[in-house]
Amino acid sequence: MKLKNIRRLWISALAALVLWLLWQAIVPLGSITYKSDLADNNYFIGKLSPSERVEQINNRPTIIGEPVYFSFFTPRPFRTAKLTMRFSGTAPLVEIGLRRDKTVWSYEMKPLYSALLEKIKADENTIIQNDVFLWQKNRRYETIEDFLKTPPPFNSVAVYRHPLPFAFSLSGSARQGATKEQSLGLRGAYQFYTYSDGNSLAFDFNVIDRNENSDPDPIEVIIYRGADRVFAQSFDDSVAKSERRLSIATPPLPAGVYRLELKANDDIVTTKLRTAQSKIAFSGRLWLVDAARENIILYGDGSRYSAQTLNPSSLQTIMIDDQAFAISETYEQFSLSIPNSERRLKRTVLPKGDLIIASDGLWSFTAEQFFNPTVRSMPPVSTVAELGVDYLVAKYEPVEILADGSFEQSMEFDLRGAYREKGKYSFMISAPNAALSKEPLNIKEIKIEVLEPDIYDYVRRYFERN
Amino acid sequence: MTMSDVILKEINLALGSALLVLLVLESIWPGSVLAYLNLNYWLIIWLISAILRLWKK
Repeated sequence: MKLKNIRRLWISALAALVLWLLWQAIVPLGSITYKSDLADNNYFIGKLSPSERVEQINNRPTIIGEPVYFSFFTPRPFRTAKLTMRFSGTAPLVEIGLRRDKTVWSYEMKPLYSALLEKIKADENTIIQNDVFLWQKNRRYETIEDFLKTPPPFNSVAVYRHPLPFAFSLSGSARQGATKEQSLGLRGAYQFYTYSDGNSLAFDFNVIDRNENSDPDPIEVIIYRGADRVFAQSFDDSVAKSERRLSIATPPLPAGVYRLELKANDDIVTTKLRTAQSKIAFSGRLWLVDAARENIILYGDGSRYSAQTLNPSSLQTIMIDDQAFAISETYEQFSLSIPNSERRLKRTVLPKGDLIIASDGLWSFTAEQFFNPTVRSMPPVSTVAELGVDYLVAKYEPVEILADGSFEQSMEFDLRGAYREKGKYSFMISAPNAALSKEPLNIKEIKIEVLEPDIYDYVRRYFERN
Repeated sequence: MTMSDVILKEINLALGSALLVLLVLESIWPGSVLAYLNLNYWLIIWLISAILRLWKK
């Protein structure tokens, strides 16, 4: 009898344990919070990586290089995540991003902290309405509405996370006389701006699949006007390693600026581009292939540059006009800052290929192709003197300052459609120039509350549908 | 069989059954168990109880 009772006891305890684990995994009430101080191993919120960009100070991770990444595990997908971070120290601009895409490492970034915006929030030349900041070097506008109705010249404004009603108009023809072919040698994904004067946009891409990894290598070409997707075409993986041509042609499009995004993994190399478009300006990162290529020339208007190579044969010194930019080690990201408030076009010479380069401006392979239809972005600076513009418009929620002097900031991410592998979402912390800050950026706690409609909502909606 | 043998046998059976159930749950729903329990300690204690049972025989 006693044995029977003991057996009943442990079977009941086991059943209770299984039910509790299932409750934690299903989250029937719709929300659950995970938190970590990043000091100990946590199954849900992973440690910051790579380790060479993170230093442990007082058993807390301090960011000394960027970007850094952390994973977030959930037993099932959720709809929304509210991320709250408590931190100390400063950096000019800190953002947190959620990885959206499996093929392309693109992140949806949100602001955590801006040294500049925190500083100017009490400035007499700053107007703040509903978390929208308008800073003016010389006060001309009394409200943000006045500014948006009659904005100043395009080149005198910098923006941060706030669209402006500027309509770019190209002087000159959007098309050159005939279709021309140019060598690109770009590996993986990339995007560029072009301009339609009311005609269709047509491009031929010559691509090679290196087939270095066994994953499928589909290619997708998407064209955007602003945030709107106006055209998309997909191409299946090709088994053949030989070069093939992918052609796209849109119907006639309204005149204006368009952004073309070629989404592909790093197995795909675009060797050539044929088009009649006269303006092609690349944005974001470019992976220029082939270490044997010599003296690649690019024209760009950036102020901040980063470069990295994985190939020892590609160690080199890049020349940006007369400024040397040395890449002296593999697998390390090098940065360079060259003040360029006028967005003057600079000639960049890369002695060798197989290098990943990026800047905060745009790039073209010839000076004639270059144009920049984008409004200048707020640079990662801490003072207005470094801004280089007369107006700044930003959408930003200031941090909360806690009793111990640390900061706290929260943000929400829509998890639907976010990249999730083996139950893990991927987050990134971007903090340019964090290492140069007098007080290093020290993360004290990450708390993530995930939300989903609860079971009762599902049941109610099921009956409403039926 | 003494009382301690009975208890040891029951501990071994309980841990073994629980380990099996939890492993099945983890294989069906990855992360549902390992997020909260370290099955390594579970396995070690189960092995110790099995060794003790064999030793007592």
